[in-house]
Amino acid sequence: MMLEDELTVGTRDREGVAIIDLVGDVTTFAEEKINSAYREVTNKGARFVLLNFRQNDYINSAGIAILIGIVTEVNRNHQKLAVSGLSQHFQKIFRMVGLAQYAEIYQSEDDAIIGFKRLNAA
Amino acid sequence: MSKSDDLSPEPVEKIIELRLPSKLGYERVAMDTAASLARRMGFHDDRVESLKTAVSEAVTNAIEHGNQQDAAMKVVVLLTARDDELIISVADQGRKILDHGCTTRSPQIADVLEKFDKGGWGIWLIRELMDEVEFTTVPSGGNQVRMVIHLEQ
Amino acid sequence: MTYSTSPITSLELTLPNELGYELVARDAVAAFARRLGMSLDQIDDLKTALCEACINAIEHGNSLKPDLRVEISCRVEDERLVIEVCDEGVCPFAPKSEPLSIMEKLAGLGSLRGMGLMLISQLCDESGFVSRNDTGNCFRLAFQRRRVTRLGR
Repeated sequence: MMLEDELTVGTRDREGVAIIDLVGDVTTFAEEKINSAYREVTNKGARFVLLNFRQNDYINSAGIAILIGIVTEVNRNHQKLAVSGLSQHFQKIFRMVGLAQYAEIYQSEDDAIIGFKRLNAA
Repeated sequence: MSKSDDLSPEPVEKIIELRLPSKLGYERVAMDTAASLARRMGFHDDRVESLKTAVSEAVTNAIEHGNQQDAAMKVVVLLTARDDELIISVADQGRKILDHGCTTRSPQIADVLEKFDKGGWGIWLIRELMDEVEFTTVPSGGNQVRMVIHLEQ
Repeated sequence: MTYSTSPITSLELTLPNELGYELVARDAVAAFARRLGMSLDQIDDLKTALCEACINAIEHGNSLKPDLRVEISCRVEDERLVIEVCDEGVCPFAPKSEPLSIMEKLAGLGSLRGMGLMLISQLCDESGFVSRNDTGNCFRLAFQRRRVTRLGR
């Protein structure tokens, strides 16, 4: 009996941005699901990738390691990565581990879409 | 279910033990811990709320009556998670035994409801909210209430 | 037995050695901290730091062995909330002295993991391993009580 809020991962497209919705625990057990969603959107040619979190979910350092792994791929594939939906606390955590240098942190999905559009226009 | 290669292991149970100060307000720790565990086991919100109330009553009784709010004493809460149920036991260190007029080791619930000066409603509530409830007195001294909530599939 | 003029308010809990249970511990300790009046921001930091310390105990100290336990104790000491996370030390925790930066990780210079201790040290006012007489790693986290400076509350 696993004691977890198992991660559900969904992908969708919104105005040219590939959004990966993460609902649930982002821990070591989330690896396959997150990587597989990222591969799926990349295979469809995504240039802008948004990881959309749910505020009250649990993200631990093992989960962050998975996201760093995504950053490696994003860099290799010349994509742009951003995150949204994180609580203030987890935005702080992301900055502490240095993820903010590689993925823009937005408060909301809408802000992220606007942000990506600006990038695209530049 | 084939029996030949089915080794039928012992039911897996995971136990969390909490030792709380005998001060009012700290029942909240037991409530939140039980709720956290129950949610993750898959109990629905309404059952989790019932559980929190039952735990609150049991721990408050232990703090106020069993331990007489003596800061040196602890309330021991054991949470046992099994595949199909959650068992919570709350034990005090028994300055004041529940059945203080009764000589039997295991008080009958009717006696408890009659003789218990305060919290009689609390005990009734626990019985209403949980699937199984058992009150005992531990040999070393102290009251214990064992509550079970079944996980519906 | 130690005698003190004011009994220390403390909470102890033990957990099964399985990933996921750190979340139940987190909620228990958060409830304790709330009862002590700690700010919500500090409690968020505490929750994350505690989870990381528990994961280290579960995965490294106790080598993911399911029969072992993790023990957590919380007490107030000199205006600080002091938490100790102890495992049964099958494997002494020997963390790398200098964790890799994200740039080093991205350059493939080492494991992507290992950020737990760094997060803990940044989120807590004090943190570190403490020695114990019996076997086991014991990790201490401390949070300084901060005066509420906001007006109106």
